[in-house]
Amino acid sequence: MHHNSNKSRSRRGSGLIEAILAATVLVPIALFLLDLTVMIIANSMNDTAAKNAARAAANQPEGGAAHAAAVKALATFQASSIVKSLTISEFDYPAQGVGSVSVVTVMEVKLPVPVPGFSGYTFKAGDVEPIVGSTIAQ
Amino acid sequence: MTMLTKRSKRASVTAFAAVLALTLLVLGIGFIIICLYMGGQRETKNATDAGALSVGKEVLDEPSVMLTPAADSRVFFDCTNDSFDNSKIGDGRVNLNRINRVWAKAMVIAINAEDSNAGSGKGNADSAFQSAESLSNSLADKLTTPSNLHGFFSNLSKANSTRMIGIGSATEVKAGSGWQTSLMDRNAESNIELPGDSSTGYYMPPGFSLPASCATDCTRDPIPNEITGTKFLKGYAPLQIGGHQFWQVPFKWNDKPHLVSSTPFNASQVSALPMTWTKPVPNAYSVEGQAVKPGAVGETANSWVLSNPRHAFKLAAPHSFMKVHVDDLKCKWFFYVPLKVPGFSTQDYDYTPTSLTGATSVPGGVGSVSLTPPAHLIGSDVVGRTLDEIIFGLPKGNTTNLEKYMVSRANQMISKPGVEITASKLHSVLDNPTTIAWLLAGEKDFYVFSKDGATLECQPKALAVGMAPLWLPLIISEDADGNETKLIDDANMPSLANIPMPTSPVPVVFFTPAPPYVPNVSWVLWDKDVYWKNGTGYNGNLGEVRVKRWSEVHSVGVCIPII
Amino acid sequence: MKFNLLLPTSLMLLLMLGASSSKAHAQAQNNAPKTSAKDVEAAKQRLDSIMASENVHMSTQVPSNFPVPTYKSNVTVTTFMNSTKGPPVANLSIITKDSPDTVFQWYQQALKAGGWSLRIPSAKLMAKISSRAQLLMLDASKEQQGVKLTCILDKATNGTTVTVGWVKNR
Repeated sequence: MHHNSNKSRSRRGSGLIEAILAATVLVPIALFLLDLTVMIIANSMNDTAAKNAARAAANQPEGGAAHAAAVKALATFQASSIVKSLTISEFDYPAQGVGSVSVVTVMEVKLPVPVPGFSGYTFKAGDVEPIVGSTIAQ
Repeated sequence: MTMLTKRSKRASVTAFAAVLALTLLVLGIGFIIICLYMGGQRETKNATDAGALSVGKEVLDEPSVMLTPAADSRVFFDCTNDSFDNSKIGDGRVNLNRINRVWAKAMVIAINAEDSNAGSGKGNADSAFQSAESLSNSLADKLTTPSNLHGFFSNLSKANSTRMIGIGSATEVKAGSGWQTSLMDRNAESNIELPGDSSTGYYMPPGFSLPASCATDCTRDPIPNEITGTKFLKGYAPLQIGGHQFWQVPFKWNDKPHLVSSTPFNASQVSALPMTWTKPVPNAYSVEGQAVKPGAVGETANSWVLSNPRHAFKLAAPHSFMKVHVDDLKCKWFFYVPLKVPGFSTQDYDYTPTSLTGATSVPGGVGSVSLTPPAHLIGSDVVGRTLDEIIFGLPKGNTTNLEKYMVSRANQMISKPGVEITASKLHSVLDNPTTIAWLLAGEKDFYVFSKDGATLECQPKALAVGMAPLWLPLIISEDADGNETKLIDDANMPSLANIPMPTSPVPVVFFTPAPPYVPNVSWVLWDKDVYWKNGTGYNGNLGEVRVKRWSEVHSVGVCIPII
Repeated sequence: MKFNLLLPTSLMLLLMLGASSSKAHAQAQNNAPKTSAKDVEAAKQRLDSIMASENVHMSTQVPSNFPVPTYKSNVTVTTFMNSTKGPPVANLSIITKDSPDTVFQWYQQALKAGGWSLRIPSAKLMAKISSRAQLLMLDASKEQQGVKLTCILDKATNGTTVTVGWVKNR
């Protein structure tokens, strides 16, 4: 009987070790995938934000109004624990509204699962849209 | 056997964990690939949308059709700029931005040629129509050739990143059936405004009514305040004037070029909804882009765009003029012997009153040998009068049609939207006090034109050509292409500034002059004829007004028997 | 004897001639050969007929309803002419011994007092217009009526010929 209980303790102990070993592999993979998913989604959001800002600016007849429209297009963004900020880093509206407008947005993302030496990531997205808001001078 | 079971149990757990890890990795990688694919699809679509908007915007300017030096092509030179300002000279190119102006001017010429005195203007109107149609057809051919638009697409599509597809990838043109055109917003307004409204008859020439089917309100909902009540030519609807159908491309007022969905685009294509316009100029374009990376092609995307130049013009013949000519002033003498007979002489006078005496009449009247009319101060019918008073002033006559012709033509010179030339405005231009001085100085010809597309001028030739030096000198010598008709026929009235004078007829033997004033009196009448020579505007001349004024001195000389 | 007969005959002839010339002189002095009133009336009707055919009417009286004030000082001749067809038009003509300036000033005041708006050409324009005949002129308007006033100097008498042209529905 003593021999049997020793055996069972030994079986439970080895199972736990196996579980821990498995978890050591599986959990990081899962967490990595989670971080990756967040990054992909954040990138997509940033692309959309850049596009919306550029489209809004392209509908304006002059630079000041265009910049204000671009900023307003990002106004719906609300910071969270993961997506820290979303700002316009570059804005190029040509003189007299001829040509196209270029907007670059920057999004600061804090990874939900911190990676040692790599706590956050900055995403940059740009969009170029033809200016349709200006009219040909009459 | 038990050791074997234990070992096999451990091995199955490990294998399970390994499989699970592998599955997670595969799922993860698969998820990433799908995300990259969908992201790439989205980026391709964004780039294609940007390219489509670029097409919708750039297509307004190019492709274009160049006017030829032939007269029937040159007639539209004043429509080849993007401004309503007449001082700006065109570049000879007809594009989507300007095609409505070309059709509109051809329409103006045709409307003017509907007059019963159009004369050779009718042939000119036919030439103008054919030329407008030819230009339109050429433009339609170019706009429906996709390769002409590919560059506009690529310029913007390539500037947008498609990094999710791969490094070095870009969205390029995918030539083929994805590049089509459509005729959207049928029966919506074009960008050509009509002057006035239905209550003013759109300031059409007398005897002409613009068919109701040619005009429409703005079709935006709600109608912007700035253009409430404004009427426009209808787009993609036949505008029947005389024997021809004119056309307009609809561009909703102040609408920006924008993306549309495929459903309305496809529903408005000629293949789905035919129209009688043989070669319609399209206002909507579909594009297809494809993400391409070195060595491979990726996703494709389609977009549809509705174009719009976002500025309006008036129904006008911008570089045109109207001429006013004042004939030499004459003084005519009449006697009653006993029937009314003209005197032997007719004298000229001018805008400075002068005392004139007519030649003696033999016989002078009933019972008289001769009658020498007394001197009268002639010229008060025109002294100190402006050109407006010379044309429309006393004796008035029925000036209704004359005024309608002139107001109609005045509106045809105006290109700036929102500007309307009422009769009152026309009169105020002709009533310019400087015309008094010009008439005094002997000037007989005046020109009414618009130097800026928004205001009217009335000037003698020397000043007129200086005010519009780039175009008016080239056309100012052109005659109106129609026939002259008399609109006011001998309007007359007693002079307002001459006192009746007693006459002294020389009696025959045994006769003596009757009492002075009653009946022996001489009085002055003011007379006026006004002519209108119709002009279509084909050569720039929209018409000519000719004013003929004269004074008539009537002298009665009666002698009665001595008892 | 013959001589004696000739002389009285001659004298008689001379006397007769003298008598008749006196008579002619007397008649000339009266300046009005005798004419039939019927002929004068016929001549007047003739004038009326002529004027009617020209759509005008003339009289030497100013209608009481003429809306423009009438100058009455030192007036020697008054005629009134009006249209009988078309827009109402009339012309009051007066010859007065007063100077053009006097008459012109009077009319300016009278018209202003009557609510008329005046438009008087500039001195520069008047100088050009008056190069051949000394005249003063103005335009006046009130509601739908218009007036054209001209005062012309009669160089022989230093008096004035005044014409007041009036129109309705200008």
